[in-house]
Amino acid sequence: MARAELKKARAQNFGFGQRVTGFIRKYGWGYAFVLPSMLVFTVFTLIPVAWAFIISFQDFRLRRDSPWVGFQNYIDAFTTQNGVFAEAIRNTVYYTALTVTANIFIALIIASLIQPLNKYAQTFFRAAYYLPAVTSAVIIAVIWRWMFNTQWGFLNYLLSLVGQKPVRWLSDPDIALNSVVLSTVLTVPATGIVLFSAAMGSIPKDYYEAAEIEGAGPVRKWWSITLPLIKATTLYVVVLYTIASFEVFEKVYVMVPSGVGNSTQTIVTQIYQKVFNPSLSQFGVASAQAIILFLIIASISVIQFRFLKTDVEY
Amino acid sequence: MAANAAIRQTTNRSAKRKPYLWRILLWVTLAITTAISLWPMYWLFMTSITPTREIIKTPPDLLPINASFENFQRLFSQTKDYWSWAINSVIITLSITFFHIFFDTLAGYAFAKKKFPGRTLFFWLILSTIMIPPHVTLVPLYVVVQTFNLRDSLWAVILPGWSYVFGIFLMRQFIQTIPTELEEAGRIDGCSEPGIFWNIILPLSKPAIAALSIFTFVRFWNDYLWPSMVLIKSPSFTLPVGVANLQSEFSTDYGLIFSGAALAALPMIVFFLLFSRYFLDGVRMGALKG
Amino acid sequence: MSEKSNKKLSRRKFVALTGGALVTGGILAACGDPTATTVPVATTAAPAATTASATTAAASATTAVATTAASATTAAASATTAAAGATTAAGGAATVGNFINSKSGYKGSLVYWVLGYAPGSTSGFNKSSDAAVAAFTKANPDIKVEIIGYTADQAGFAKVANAVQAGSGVDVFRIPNDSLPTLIAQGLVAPIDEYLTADDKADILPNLFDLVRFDNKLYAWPLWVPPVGLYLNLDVFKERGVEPPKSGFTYEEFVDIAKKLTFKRANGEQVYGYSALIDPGLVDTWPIIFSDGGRPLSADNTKYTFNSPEAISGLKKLTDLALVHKVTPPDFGTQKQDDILTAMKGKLQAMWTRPSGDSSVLKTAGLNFDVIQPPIGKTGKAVSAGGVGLIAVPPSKDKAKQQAGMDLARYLTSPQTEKEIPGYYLAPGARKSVTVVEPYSKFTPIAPTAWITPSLAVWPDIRTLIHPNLQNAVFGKISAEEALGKPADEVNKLLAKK
Repeated sequence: MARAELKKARAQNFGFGQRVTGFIRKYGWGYAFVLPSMLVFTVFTLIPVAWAFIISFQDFRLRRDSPWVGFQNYIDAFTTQNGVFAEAIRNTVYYTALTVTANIFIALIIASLIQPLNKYAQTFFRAAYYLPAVTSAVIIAVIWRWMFNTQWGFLNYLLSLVGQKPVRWLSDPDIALNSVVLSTVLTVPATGIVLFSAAMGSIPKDYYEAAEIEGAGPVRKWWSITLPLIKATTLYVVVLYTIASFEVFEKVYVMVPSGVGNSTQTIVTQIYQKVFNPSLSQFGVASAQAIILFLIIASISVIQFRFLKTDVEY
Repeated sequence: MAANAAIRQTTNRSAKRKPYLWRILLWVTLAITTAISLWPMYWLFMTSITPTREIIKTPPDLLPINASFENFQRLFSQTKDYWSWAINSVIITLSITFFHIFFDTLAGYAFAKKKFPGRTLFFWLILSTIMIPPHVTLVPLYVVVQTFNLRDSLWAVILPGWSYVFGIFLMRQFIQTIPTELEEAGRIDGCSEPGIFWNIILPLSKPAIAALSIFTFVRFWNDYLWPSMVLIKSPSFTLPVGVANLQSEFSTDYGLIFSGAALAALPMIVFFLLFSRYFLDGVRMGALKG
Repeated sequence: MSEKSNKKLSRRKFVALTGGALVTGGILAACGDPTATTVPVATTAAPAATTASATTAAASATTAVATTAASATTAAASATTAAAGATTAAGGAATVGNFINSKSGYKGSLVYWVLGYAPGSTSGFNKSSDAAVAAFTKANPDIKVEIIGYTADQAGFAKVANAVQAGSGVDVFRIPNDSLPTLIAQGLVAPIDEYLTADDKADILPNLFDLVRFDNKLYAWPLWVPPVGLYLNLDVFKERGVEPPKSGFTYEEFVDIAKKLTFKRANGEQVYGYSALIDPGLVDTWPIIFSDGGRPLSADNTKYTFNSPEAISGLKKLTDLALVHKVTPPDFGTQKQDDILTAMKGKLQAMWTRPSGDSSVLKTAGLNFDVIQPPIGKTGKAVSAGGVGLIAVPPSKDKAKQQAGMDLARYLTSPQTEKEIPGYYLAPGARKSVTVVEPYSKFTPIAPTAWITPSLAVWPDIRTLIHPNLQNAVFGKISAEEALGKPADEVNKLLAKK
């Protein structure tokens, strides 16, 4: 270290070339190590993000001049097609509110239930819950579409066993979005369970022992010790699931491809339709919609951080 | 689920008096949720070995009593590109995973341990893009693919996959926990900087690397939206794109769709069963979204 | 030169790349190695990766095709004014000329994008496309033709448009007439005037030229006119002892029959009288909406007229089938093609309005069916809907290649194809000289009654606006009047912009 300092000092006294050599000797490896990652990051993330903002203010055309249009794309996003984008936002918010609430709740309950079990049982259940999460959303959606089939589907078969009439799960505009929600809720929130149970496992045992001495029952312990102490994890999981829900696409696209009226349009299916508009003239609107999605996600995340903010560290 | 909570509350109060009842309820709840969780997977594999004419019958068979492999036979004779899809998926996923293991660890190491002007700025830039939904870059990347005529090229999928920055963040967090004394010791032994990285940092980062590679692998194996936009000819599809296409197709053949889907899901499931410990460790490290 | 070996090569490259990186790692591993200290190895690894990328990139584009499906019919789904007299066997099959030989002198390959083509699929259309292309390449050994299939949805059309715009990868493509104007407006389609012979001009139905004429130039080779017909699942009729109707029967008779054919079998199977697909790209249910005289646009395509009382009562006829008479399956409005084909094949559905392409599938499945004119409404006149299938060629700087593309397009739309590959035409042909075979010939008398989707650049946007409203009307969520009134302002705005 001292030698390097000496060299640096010496380099400062000499010419520009030596100063450069000194700089490289000192920081060269740092730059060399981050270079490949930063290069692809810059080319495939940073520049495209900046460019997306630019495109959202242009009437963007491939291989042609793209005139500036100010906020027209943002206006068009909401005013064209009888305001379907606003409906898509409402649908996405509805989907997110229901699925995130249900997922967090279920994850908390299951994580608490498996907490007292021995290590092997815990691992078994976590693995069983996690298994479907390694399967592609497209495949899961293909299965659900089949389960929801009005005539041959498994769910209507279950209903028929208890003497109920078949439900038009994916073809009734009042039900279709709820069916998509149902399929998400019935997919056990594995990531949440794993994260919650890790957080619960790291709460020191003596907290509980102390509470027991004071005569607290299990529910009381859960409410007053477990929940407050995993608040940081809860925040993380909530944000995670919220972002994922806002970006829902595959599921909807595979289960109800042409939409049920517009009742199953989501933000991302709208973006997809704009990118894939045969007139190749909707790229600006698609970008504007993607940026709106980003703003929604960012502001909701900020609110969630504020709301669930915690100082508890353990 | 609300019912479970209620059950929990009532039973907990009398937990000491009725431990058995409480245990039975616990196991029943866990068994039911496990069944719900695994049911779609069971249904997928069950239908994949059920002939199409049996699939559309009411009531449906709940057990594979009419099992046969005719769907798979038809899948391979009719969907000639199925193996191309599988090979493309493997190439794409391996290239992306390999890149991330190697270069994210390098970058993570530099961000964690090296000091150089601009470090904070770079890292802040990386962090700030984590929350930006991938859909924002959809149009620009699509334009790039159009402009450079990368349509149908596997590179159109691989290159953007390389810029998935989560790995850098994960590796930095992990490498920060490695004591700096170990590197110093290496320097004293005369190791070069790359030598320190290779001999000291890389081996010590194994748990994080395992998590990162597993999640990168799963994420890109299952990726659909972007590949479906840039891969156009059937032989250049990946498995999820191919399966989605089978189903949007004019095929009336549910057996075919399910056998294709089951086969596409199988490698990940085997992979998971073999390495479930690393998966779960990885989730804990926060390597996975959703 | 085979593309397969090309691909293998790239895979080897990939392995080499991976190996190279591993070797790089090996160098890194050498502790105290002086070479390792002077060269920042990590950085060299990255350029290595990028160079390799260029080659592999080319490689992944590849062989044949696969995908999708979807029927000639969907393609057709589009189209404008009556393609009167489309086809008919009108005699002169003897005068089939020679269309197959290309005098372009072009040596190389052509990429032909086919709507709804799916390799390995058993559909008749697939087979005939393969056969026609095989015949062409046999007659022109210097030219190779690669077929790529694409889906008949927005994404599919956008992919063709993008590929054409990128200036490579598309040399000939089949497209419905209502998707053509957008491409022409972007300069992506080459005029066919100089390639069109006097014989061609005399042979092709004159009114079809109107659909491909822009600024006094003709832009595509009309292939066929697939109108929507009413499929009758004859075994279901027989099972219930119902006399199959004949062309010219009325909507009231149609409802009556549909009611009789909606029943539950002893084994619990539910059979439905009628169903059809409702999708932005399809006009399958529109003959019923048109039956009282309503049409989406005014005759000169300048005004939205779907909110007229005639159109509203027509839509009501459609929604009544689901909401009042209850002769449609519960998923009516969101069914996919495979759902209906499964139901037809399984004899769980009696009647289906659909263009001609699917008859090949039903024929292959051995189904006993007939096709008649969709039911007649208040106007007392038979009406159907459809589009015109076209084959177009993008502009190319390589004149020989463009000529070869035009020659292929001409052959694919010629009577010679049908003569040599019977059953090639899945719909009444666009030339007087084309005679189509059973079951497609059943559509020949229907074609002249068809309203053809307009060749308007804004039509794809218009139908996207109309579609969810039709769906919601069928679901009973909104009234027929609301459904057809809602899109009016925006459609008129779009029409004014043009």
